[in-house]
Amino acid sequence: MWTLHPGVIRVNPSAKIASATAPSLDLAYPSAMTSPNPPAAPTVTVECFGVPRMLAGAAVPCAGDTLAEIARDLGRHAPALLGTVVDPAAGWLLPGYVFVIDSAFTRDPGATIHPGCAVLLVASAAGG
Amino acid sequence: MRGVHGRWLHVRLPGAAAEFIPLAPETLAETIGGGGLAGRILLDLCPPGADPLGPDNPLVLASSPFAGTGITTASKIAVAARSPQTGMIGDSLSSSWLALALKGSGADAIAITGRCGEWSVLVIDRGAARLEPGCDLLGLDPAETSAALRSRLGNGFRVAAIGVAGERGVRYAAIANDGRLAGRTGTGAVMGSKRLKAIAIRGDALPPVADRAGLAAAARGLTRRSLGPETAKYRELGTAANLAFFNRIGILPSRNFADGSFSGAEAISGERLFADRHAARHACAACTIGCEHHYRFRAASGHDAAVRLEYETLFALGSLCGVDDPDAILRAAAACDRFGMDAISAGGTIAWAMECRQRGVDLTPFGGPAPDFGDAAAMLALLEEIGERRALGALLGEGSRVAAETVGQGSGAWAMHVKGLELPGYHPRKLRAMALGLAVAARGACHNRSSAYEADLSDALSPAAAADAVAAAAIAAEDQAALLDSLTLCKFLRHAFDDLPGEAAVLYRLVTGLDVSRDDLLRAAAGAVLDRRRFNQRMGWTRDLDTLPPRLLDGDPLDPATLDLLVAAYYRGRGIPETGIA
Ligand code: SF4
Repeated sequence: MWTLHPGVIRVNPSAKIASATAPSLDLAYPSAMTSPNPPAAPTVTVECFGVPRMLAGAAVPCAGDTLAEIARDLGRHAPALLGTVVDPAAGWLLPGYVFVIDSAFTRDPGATIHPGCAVLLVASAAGG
Repeated sequence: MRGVHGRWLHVRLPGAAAEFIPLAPETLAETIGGGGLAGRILLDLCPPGADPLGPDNPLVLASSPFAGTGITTASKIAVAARSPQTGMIGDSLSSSWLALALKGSGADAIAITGRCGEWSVLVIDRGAARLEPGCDLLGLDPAETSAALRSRLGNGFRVAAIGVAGERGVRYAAIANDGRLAGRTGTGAVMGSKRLKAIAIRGDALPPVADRAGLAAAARGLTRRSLGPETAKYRELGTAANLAFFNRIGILPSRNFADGSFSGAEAISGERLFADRHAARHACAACTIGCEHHYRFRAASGHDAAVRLEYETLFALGSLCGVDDPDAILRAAAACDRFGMDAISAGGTIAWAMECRQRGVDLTPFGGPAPDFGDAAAMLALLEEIGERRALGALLGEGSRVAAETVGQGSGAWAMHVKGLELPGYHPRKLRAMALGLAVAARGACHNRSSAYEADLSDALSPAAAADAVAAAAIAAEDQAALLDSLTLCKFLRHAFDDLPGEAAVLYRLVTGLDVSRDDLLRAAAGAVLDRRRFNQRMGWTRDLDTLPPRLLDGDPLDPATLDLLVAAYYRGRGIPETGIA
């Protein structure tokens, strides 16, 4: 278990602006999902990269027919993503994150998921 | 016009005769500042055909209206000269305290022409220029040079220095300050050619801004946004976060761009490095993001050390050379910092040599055998040879284009550069806008002057988009980069804006008092891009230089005809003739 340097921000779900005084998070680097209760019938495994990976692990099995359902399930199975990557109030990604479905970048909550498709979760600030 | 001094300082070597030259407000508004201003001064000052390593090539350092105002991430300087690596425009940005000293020097920019008789240090103390001896500093790395000078000169000086690579004319030598580098295109070699080991600047004469209270409020708002989720990637993991994702989607250049993924990617991923080796996080002066992550490694001496690592260094000295040993990559990054040289070009040129070996091209007659891909120890040894320009490093210090021209035997086919500048860490095979952006970028293959990958790595551009749409995306990305570089705002702040040009125009008005609109800023940014092209034209640019290495035009999926269509669409979109602009 690693503790992240000061400066990690937990996002206030009601505002776009983060609170700079929020406490640091504990970050792990688990290689598998962190949820004690995996979904009964996962339809996809969300592959996480960057901050989502540090918070939730490399892969989180999720159930859902649309990205909106996947995002909500992500928050359930990887609570560390709530407030940091997923807006707990909206159940949807915070600005700054994007899904990639079979190579297509999207923030469309209505995008449909089919079993076996590749779903990646990454910062939308591509590159550097 | 507020927020600027309205003049630049021309320092003529060897005597350090200095003259303030007035800067018309229209010129400042037209160029914005920073990269735009440095490019304009270079365009005006550099004679056509000037030898990049000769006395006539000006070395320009420019500030911006935003620097020193408290706007987050704006403490940056732009550096420009004719590049000894490409023969075209060489420009780079660097950050931190030096930028504040330059802004306080009483000049908006400093341009240095001529050459010293002996190795020297140019001291600019509150606008007054003088030379001090620099021979005693030879052989020191940039950090040691800075420490020695700051203790010699006294409080308040900030130092830009070259390392041994700059002293010895490595064509991709960098200028370093405050632990940051103006890394690409060899401006360190230009500084070395003037026999300047360092430039020390002291100054605290910050010009007043137009609306102090309004600016303070706006700057506070931007600071708050800089702490949000849009910048979390940089703050929490840094750019090293790119590697695992790029590997997953097949755009991580590996083994000299033969592949877009790397079997050793997990071992050198940013997430793994963070977990195993994270040592510290730092920020440039006046930055609230703090993207600079340092990682622990075991130095050759056996001691523990730590070094700043960016994605570009990680890919260039890692997957590009087939190296999956994090300790070796971190040692290599530290070596590049110590010698003061660009890690992308160093890694790209070593990868070219590795492919020479793979293909049976013997480099022994050129100073020594090339290593195999993945030979980390040999890569480290080669970096030392390059930094000191000896053995095979003398050839590799020329960069991959010149090295391939020297060696021949078809090795130009795997020299992965555009206009002589080695490609950054985005395999353009799957990235059409980026492929175009790399081909047409004035300073050569560069991700900082053309961040067109953003269009490819988003839903903004359909894979079936027509050439004109791809060109429009590449132009927009190039203009955005030029705008940020001219404002001297960090690119990592870009996602914190809802409307970058519109919000930047508000800030610009608060700082300068000029009635500038978002369209004015966009026009000025496009003008900065055109200034660079004008400079290149004057230095011998021809259309065939706006291309990609042959390996990337093998029909999978790009071929020469397709790229040609894209490049033609780019010229159309820019409104410039294919023969170049006057
Ligand atoms: S985000 Fe990083 S590179 Fe940009 S100003 Fe801040 S510390 Fe410097």
